[in-house]
Amino acid sequence: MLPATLTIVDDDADHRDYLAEHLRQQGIRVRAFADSNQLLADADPFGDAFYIIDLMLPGVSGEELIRILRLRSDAGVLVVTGKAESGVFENVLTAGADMHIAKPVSLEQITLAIEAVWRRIVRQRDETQRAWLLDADRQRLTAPAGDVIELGDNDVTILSCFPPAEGGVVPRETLCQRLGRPVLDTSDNGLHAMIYRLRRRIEKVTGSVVPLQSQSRVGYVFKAPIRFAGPH
Amino acid sequence: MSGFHAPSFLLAVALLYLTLPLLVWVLLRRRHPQPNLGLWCGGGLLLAVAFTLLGLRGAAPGLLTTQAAYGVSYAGMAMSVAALRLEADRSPGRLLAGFTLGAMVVTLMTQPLGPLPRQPVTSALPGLFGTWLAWTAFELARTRNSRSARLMAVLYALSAVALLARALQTVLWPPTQQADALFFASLVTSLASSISGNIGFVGMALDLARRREQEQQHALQALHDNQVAMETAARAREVVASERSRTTRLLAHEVRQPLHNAAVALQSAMGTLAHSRDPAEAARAIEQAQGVIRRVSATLDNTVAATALLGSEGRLSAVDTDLQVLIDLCLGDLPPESRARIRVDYRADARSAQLEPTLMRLALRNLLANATLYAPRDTPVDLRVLDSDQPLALVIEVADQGPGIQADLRERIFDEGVRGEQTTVPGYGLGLHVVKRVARLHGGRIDWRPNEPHGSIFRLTLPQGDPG
Repeated sequence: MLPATLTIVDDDADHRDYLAEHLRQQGIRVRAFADSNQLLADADPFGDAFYIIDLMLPGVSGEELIRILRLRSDAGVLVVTGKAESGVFENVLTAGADMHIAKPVSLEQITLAIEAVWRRIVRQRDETQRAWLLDADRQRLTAPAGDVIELGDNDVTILSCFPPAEGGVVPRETLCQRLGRPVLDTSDNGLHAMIYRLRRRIEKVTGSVVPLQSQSRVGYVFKAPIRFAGPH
Repeated sequence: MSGFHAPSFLLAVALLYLTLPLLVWVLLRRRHPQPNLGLWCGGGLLLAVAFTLLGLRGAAPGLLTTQAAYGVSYAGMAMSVAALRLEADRSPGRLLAGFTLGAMVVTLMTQPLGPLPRQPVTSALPGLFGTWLAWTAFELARTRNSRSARLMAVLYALSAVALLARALQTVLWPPTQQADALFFASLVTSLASSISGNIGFVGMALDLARRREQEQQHALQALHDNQVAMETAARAREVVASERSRTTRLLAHEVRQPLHNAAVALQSAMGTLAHSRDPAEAARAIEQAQGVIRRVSATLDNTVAATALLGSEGRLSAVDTDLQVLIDLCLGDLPPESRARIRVDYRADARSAQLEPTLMRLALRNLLANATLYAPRDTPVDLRVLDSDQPLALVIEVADQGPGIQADLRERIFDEGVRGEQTTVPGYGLGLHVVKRVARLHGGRIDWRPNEPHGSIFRLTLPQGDPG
């Protein structure tokens, strides 16, 4: 399953052309731009369903371009870059990209990544009608597909923070306070462990990556609709 | 005060005044700055001369004894003040010279006017010098925090008070020829202040010497620290330089030559395409070129990771990583024939974990590439993904059915530059070393254990927070 339309922004002409050609062969309508300025100057810069972006771009930087895109569009964003510095991932995901893969990658690997991101986006769109349901009293979480996850006390406490946040970030401090943990300046391994266990518990049942994501140094976000079940 | 013979007493005092500066000179010579010591001892000797002259009063004309004694004593006291000012790193000052000259002139002028103006003046002026000495010593005590200087200040102040009191007394009550109690007191306090002054001066000098020694020690320590820091920096530079030269060697051996081979392979593929109608032959040549390029890429990735990502100290930027996509990417990095041999056994509940995906992809690819290269071509390689609760971690195992690792290599297998037996396998001994460093950056570890019946199992443990 692949998106119908796609935009490539990459200043490496060879890579751009080969990739565009490869994706066209998969039946995707592809637009290609050599830099972000070209894309932004286009008549319809934000209309595509999917974007593949290189980070080291002339003009507006790749990261900045992702931020601009995110303001206008919920398209899939995949970063394919040779930028080899630590922290690139974090910055790119914070800017709003869905995935980041480092060059060198084969065309098949890129297609694979597009599929993974697109599958997630399509599923989330389907699930928009049916949210995750948290039943705090019975300590249960129901996934949109109907899977039921039994929760521990801490799991309920953690998950209860997300419906009121309405898709926003729940700061680590809030989670720590709710859990009755000391708020630490440094990274809280205990909280990390709790969240990891919760994620693992949910993923065991659903078999796919849970939309509970960590936001570096800030907190956690539930990137799908979630609400309380019943009167709450 | 009958029986008290003033001239003898004065001569005795003079002797003491002579002894003290000489003693100080002997003690401090070569241990203390010459100008200060010279001024101080010179001042003391002048006072000895003054007391000698006073003791000779009556035996010679007044101008040669009393007047000269006062003049000389003023000069002596002024030199003492100057010495103390030098101690405090201040210039002796024109004010001091002016005051001393003025005192001499006033004493000379009051001489013919009889005892009433003369006696108060000759007591008050030494009193003022004493005050000056006390004040200078006090300032010195404050800035140097020196106990010797404080004692000196107190005794000079006492002697100054005694002298000024005597001056007041000679104004209020007409002086007598008899040596009176206040005269005696002022003499005793000036004597005491002189003794304490000299002791204090020696004390201060020793304080200073001790402080200098400490400063020298500190300076030496700083110099030593500096040297150590420079040596450390030099070593770090050496490491960087050796890393760089290693990178250059690697690029030359492992990249340039294979790239050239790939170019040749592609050229031959083009030739084959042009002359032959057998697409399989061309495909083989292209596949060969692709294999070479893949190997060059892997070498480059490891080199770049080793020098750039792994070298950067500090926090690892781990993100929630989709494990299935990570595995797929790693498999995509392998040549097709190797890929076909990998059996993925995904047993973990977790579908995602906090990792640095670029480094983890590299580490996993290295493990898989090693396993496929060192084990026979017809054997499978197992990639297992497992959960761990003690410690809370994600575990990735790569198991092959190759020859395993010789006992003598097991300890060093993760060290840089250590290679397996099979020299037919290309490489630079960087792969497992990178795996170890990536594991450590994740707060985790890489372990080796033998596979049954033969082969290797590499176990990568990646902690996910503290189970507490």
